[in-house]
Amino acid sequence: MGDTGDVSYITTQKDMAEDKTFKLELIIPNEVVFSKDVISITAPGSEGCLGILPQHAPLITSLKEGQIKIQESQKSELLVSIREGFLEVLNDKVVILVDKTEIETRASLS
Amino acid sequence: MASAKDIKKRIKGIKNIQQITRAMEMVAGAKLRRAQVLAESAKPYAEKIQSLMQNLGSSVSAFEHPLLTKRAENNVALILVTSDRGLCGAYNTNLFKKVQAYFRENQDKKISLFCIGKKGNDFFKHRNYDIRYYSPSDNKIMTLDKVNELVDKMINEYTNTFFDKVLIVFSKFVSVMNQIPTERPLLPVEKIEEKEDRRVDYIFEPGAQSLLEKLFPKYLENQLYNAIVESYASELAARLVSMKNATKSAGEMIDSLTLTYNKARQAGITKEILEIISGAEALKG
Repeated sequence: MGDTGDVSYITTQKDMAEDKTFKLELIIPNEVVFSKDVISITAPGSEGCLGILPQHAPLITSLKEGQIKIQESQKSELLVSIREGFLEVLNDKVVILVDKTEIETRASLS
Repeated sequence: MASAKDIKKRIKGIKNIQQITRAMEMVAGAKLRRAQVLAESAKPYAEKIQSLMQNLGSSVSAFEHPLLTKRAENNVALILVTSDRGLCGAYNTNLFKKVQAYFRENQDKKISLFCIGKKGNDFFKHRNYDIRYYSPSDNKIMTLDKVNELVDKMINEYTNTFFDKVLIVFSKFVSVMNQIPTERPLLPVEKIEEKEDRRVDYIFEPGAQSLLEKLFPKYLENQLYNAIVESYASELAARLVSMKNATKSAGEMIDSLTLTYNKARQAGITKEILEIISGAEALKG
């Protein structure tokens, strides 16, 4: 009896974990390109590639030229090419400042 | 008194002018709305880069950087943002006055002009000022890349002590009725003080100092870009207002000329009748 209760508890936990998102804003000098809740991102930090998940510690870093991978949901993923820029994480909100962006592919993962 | 025919010709001419000014007013209005949207959408980036500067600036307290050090201002670079086209009231003239006043007040310094906008270039070239750079301010020509290029050049010349100070003179957009010619220092970079209560312990990667060094050019580029965007909105607002006034004055002129025309016509008719009557009287007698 107790076991089943625990199992259901775990599944709800897991569902919540799957839905966990944070806000991402991608800003270039003349507009906000992207502003949505996402699951994770991978960005080309100047000190090496960095992945960001929800509840990341406050961080400011510079980005080098490369691609940002944005996991929008379990099913869709977005690749964005950038020139160098900056990334800030604060209170589960990520802000990326770059000169220019180019949204490359909208890959759909089934 | 001018003949009725001449007055009619003038009325027609003024009506044509009124049509043009009214069309220009409408075009300026539509463009102004777009320019305001542009200025609005440039805000998030500017605000964020400002807050990054604050956060980084407060983490590195004793920070020495060539772009931060103040020097004796012997050589000044002045970036003047004007419009490419006229018919926008006193918009450009106010900016010229501001620049000329600056020249008068700082006669002991060597000032080089960097003109963005055709009007400013024409005005100061004609008066034999030292113009080091010129680009039209049209945002199809003065693109972000070009702004960045100019700022990089400024940073370079500042670091090599060709200039000790860089100023931007542009038109601040307050409202459609009010634009203020403003001078804003670009270099040396003024440190932005942060309020203590907003302080967060960030992880800096790489160190705060090298991040700040990377952030400087972006920050300065953004400053100049914003000045240009704001000036563009100001230009259109100035044009909108001056064209509105011109349409109104044209209307007033047409009204008064129509009155004169009617009077002249009436006088002509009276004269004709008088001649006929007096002719008939003469035949009777």
